[in-house]
Amino acid sequence: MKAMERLAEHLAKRPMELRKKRDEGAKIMGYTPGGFMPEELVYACGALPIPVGLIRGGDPEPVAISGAYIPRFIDTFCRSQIGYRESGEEPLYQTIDLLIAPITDCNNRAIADMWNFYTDVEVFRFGVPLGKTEHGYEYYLEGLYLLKEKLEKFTGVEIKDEKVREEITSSNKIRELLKEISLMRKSKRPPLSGADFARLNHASFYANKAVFAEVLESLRDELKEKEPPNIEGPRVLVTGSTLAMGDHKLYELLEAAGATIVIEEFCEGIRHYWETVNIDGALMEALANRYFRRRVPCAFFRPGRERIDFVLKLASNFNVDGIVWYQLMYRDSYDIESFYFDKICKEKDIPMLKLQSDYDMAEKGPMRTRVETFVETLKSKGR
Amino acid sequence: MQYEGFLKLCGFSEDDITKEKPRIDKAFEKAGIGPEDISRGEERVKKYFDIELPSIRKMLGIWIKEFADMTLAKEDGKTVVYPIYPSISQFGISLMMASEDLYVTTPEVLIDVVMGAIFDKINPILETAEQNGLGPGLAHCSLLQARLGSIVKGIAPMPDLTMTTGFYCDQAPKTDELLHELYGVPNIFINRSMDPNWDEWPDITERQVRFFGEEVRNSIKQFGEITGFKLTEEAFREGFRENAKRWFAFQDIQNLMRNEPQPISQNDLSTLTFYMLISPTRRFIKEGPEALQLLYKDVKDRVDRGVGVVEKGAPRITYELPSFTDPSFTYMIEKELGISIPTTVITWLTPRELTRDERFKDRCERIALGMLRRGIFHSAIGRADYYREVAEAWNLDGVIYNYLFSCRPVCLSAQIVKKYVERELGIPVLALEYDLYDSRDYSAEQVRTRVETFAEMLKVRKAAKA
Repeated sequence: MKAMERLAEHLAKRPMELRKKRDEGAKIMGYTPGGFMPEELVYACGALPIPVGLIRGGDPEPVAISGAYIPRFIDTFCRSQIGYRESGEEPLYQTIDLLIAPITDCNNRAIADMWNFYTDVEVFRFGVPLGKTEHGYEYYLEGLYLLKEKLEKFTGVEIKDEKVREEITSSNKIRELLKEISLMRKSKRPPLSGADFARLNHASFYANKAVFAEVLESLRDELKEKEPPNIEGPRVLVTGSTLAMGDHKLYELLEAAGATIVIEEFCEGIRHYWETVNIDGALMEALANRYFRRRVPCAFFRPGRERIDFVLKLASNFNVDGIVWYQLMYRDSYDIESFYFDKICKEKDIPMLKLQSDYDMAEKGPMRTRVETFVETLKSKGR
Repeated sequence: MQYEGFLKLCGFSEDDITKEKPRIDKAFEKAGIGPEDISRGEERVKKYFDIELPSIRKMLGIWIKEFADMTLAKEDGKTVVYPIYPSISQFGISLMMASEDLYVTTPEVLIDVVMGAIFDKINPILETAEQNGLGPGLAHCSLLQARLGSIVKGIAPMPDLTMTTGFYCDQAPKTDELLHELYGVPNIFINRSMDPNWDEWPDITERQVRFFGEEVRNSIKQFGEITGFKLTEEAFREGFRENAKRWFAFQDIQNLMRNEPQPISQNDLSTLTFYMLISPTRRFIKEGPEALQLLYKDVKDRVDRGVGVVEKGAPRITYELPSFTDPSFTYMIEKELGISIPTTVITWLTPRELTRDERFKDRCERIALGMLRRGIFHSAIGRADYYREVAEAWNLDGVIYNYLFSCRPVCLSAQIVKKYVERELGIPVLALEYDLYDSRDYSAEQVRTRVETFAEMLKVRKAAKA
């Protein structure tokens, strides 16, 4: 697809471009994943947010490197973030001036702790209360104001309302386009593979916004006109804690086994596009509403039923034949939730496969067997 | 079953035995404790706890009686409420003050000490938890496994309410959510965001205290709505007072540990005494003050006589905590390797924590402040600096950071604590991957080589300094 080719070209040049902008004086902000950091605020001060941790994962080497900094009993993805930084091999990770860390669970916090202790990058934290209570919302909103203050001080630029409104509008456009494209996978013959959608979504974290929006529009138009492939295999929903850029094996294995990934729900690594920011009224409150109140919570939120119900609703709306639960090692909240989620799926007669990864290449073989068996089971049930 | 000898070892008088044994019989039957276990329990109590001291026997007795109270709470007609560890002890005591019809405890701590440390029979409970949501090989907290496993096995009665303090970890709230999903147990979640920026420590920001305080306040309201019991202002005040009395009494004993030789073992001070302090139990409320007074007397007597459990002049260290279930770890360090452990990081309140902060008068906010001031709960840098603070204040020769591998907030800071303390104080730190609640994979023997080598190094350094 032409749009995807154009995007690939743009992304290949992007690290150099960012480096150049930085050399010209632009500040580059990284942020830890989870979708709780309103990038609009960062864009509104002229800085460039790059999602440190949101994109890179799946490689065993950074995990191995992380062993010198942190014990292995922290979520694999979170551990590997210090590995990517300290290896010096990931150019985006070397360009960060300020790491913004919305603090969710302890695994996620470990990223901020490692960067604080082992790098000379400044780290700014603000809290994400793990319950959507009224005063939780107030705390989160207060955190956004502190973030705004920090950004203004760090960049020397006042963040004005009109700029924030402008950035919200352009970010909303991207969310709407991603949603429109994602919803195309509801059809019996999805025009876009799950792997391609995941790549597209990951690209959104460091592509130039304007270029990315154009690419999405072109892609949407291409997909509408394109003859969709004949899909015969079972339809699958994938869910879990983190789908990082570079962690492709699950999608590869599922698609190679003949499944079609029609939808996914991850807390980290996948940009959340279901909700836009409503710009009627006070802007900071609008951001807090969208990024905290209205987004689907992660498994470490309490109570956790909202996420479970959302995943089940997706499964129904996208007419899936089975669910693959993909978690990384030692992400405790997800592992515990998988136990009773499995029971819930059984009650609803939805086949579920649970997989976990430590980004170890040796996992691929056994994982392939399990995935193939699962897909065959779905096929044999006429799904 | 006849086990009067064991009960006498645990400080039971003849009257106590007459009164309590029928209950203890039932409790032991529920827990599957038989003659073999009693025999093993006797050996362990004699080996690992200082039963020469009447106060230690009394502490052991309190644990056994409380264990019976817990297992029989439903039969006694109580409404059962389980806070979780780390708990807010003054809060737990206050809840108990609300009514005699309430039974409040952190069952996992009780189970660990009685079934683990005393009887060495914790493994079946952990295995039960592994089959019921906290699977093996995934670094699930074994303290939470004790909680879940003992409830599923029916040793700890199914609670009417759980109250989860999520101010520190994520697993505890999720475990209680599992109980809710599988067994319908209502849950109250007390949240707190672990978001302090590193340059804030040791100052505690108002917004964090106010948020956490509000969570505590809301939990009191929810407690009333769910249980029908009201936590009155009087009960709350009483709980604070009782808790403070015990903590200060404990600190007096803790401060006696500055003397050399170390007068009593951490197995006695922490496992038997401190763990009772942090796990609010009605027996300890009733019998604790006397037990603490007696312990102070016993320890003071040893100090006056210059008698202790480790040789005078031995290298002195601190560590996170002794194992809740396996006293052989501390025994190895103190008795076999001759290293003194005058304090753990968690049992001692620093002078900074004891100063008043006039910004916060509301009791819920004072609870929040108390927790946040404990560096170990504040942040990773708070934790590392807290270790430094303790090591410096106690003039220690080294630190064993026996970090609980399955506790995310603890283990993520392992290398940070080590490097930070070594850099700030120039004393060696052993970062030891460990399990405070489960010795199946992390026994004393397993870690002996590393600890032994570290101990030898400390001795050489100490001798060189002298």
